[in-house]
Amino acid sequence: MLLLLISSIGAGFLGSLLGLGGGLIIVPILTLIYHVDIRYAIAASLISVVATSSGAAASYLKDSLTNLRLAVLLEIGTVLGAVVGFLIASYVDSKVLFLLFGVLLMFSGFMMLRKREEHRSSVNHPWAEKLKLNDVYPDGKGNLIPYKVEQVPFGLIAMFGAGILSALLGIGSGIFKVLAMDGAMKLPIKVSSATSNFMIGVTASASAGAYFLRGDIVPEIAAPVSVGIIIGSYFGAKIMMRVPSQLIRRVFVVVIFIVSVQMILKGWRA
Amino acid sequence: MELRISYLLRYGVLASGLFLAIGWFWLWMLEGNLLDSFTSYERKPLAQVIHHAVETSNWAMLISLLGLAILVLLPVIRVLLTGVLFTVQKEKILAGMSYFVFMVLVFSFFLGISH
Repeated sequence: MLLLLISSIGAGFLGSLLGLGGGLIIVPILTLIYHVDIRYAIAASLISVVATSSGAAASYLKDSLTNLRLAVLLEIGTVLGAVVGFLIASYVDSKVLFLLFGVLLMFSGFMMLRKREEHRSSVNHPWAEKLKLNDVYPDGKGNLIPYKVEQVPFGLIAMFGAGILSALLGIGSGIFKVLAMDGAMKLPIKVSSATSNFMIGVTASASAGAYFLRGDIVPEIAAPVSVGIIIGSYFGAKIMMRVPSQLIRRVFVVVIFIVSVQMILKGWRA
Repeated sequence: MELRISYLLRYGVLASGLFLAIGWFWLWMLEGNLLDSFTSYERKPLAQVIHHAVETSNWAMLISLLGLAILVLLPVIRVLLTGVLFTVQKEKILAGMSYFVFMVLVFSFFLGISH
């Protein structure tokens, strides 16, 4: 079990280094290496997601990058999605969970390779106008840059989908959130990342609570995983600035592809 | 005030982490390597687990469960406090949205009991 703690620290470390959630790393580790049933793995992963997000929420707000108003609006989508995801999960076969997870992981790998352009919108969607979702963010050089928010309804629907995936697969769905905010709603990437990270804890808790009361979150697994991921991501965040991320990303993308194929195979064969 | 909510969260995580660490370590000392019992899924409602732990005075388990419970509740508390924050700022729509999210979260917990 000590090994599990150490692996979780590693997972948290890597996750925070690469901007990936711990969930995407820990579920394969738990299922492929430790042979834990995927449902326990998903539940344990969810609670660790809650832990990291809640622990880091303070820093996200402090940076003035998180758009709290937008987060609250989008959380409506994610928690509703998470509830649906939880309900579906009981009817979905474990095989399908493996397949889905593998595909998602592969998708994340592609996303990591994609080039990110900085962009801002100068157009506000009517809902954004009404709720004053547009805001400013610090660009790191001492300037405050204003941005506006587009495509609010689409963002909400995307969040609903992200919520379903979160509850189903035990992840934070940060990738989808950032995709929706960055790609569709045209938020600056730093704002998308910070807001997404902020929202993740709420999304995860929407299903974590249910899994917990159902008894799927078992301390024997969840405790070392959560503690490990918290410790790992703390250190990962600290050294994140000093490490040449490009190289690590490339190596990790390869690992991700290998693991995703393994997850898919596991789902296919079982 | 938003910042203070987040600091509350952070300390909450630390507190729960402490409970979890203690509880887990204790469990480990008591029962050794248990991972093998989880290779296949078996439905065991939390209420049952708690009941059994209380009957056998399994404090290690109870402390671990407490740690997990705190963790799960933290975002829920955060959302509620955010709602209060918006109410104070007289932002009715945003407050309403926060409270709605809060209610969905509470509702989701009950789903775990029946499903």
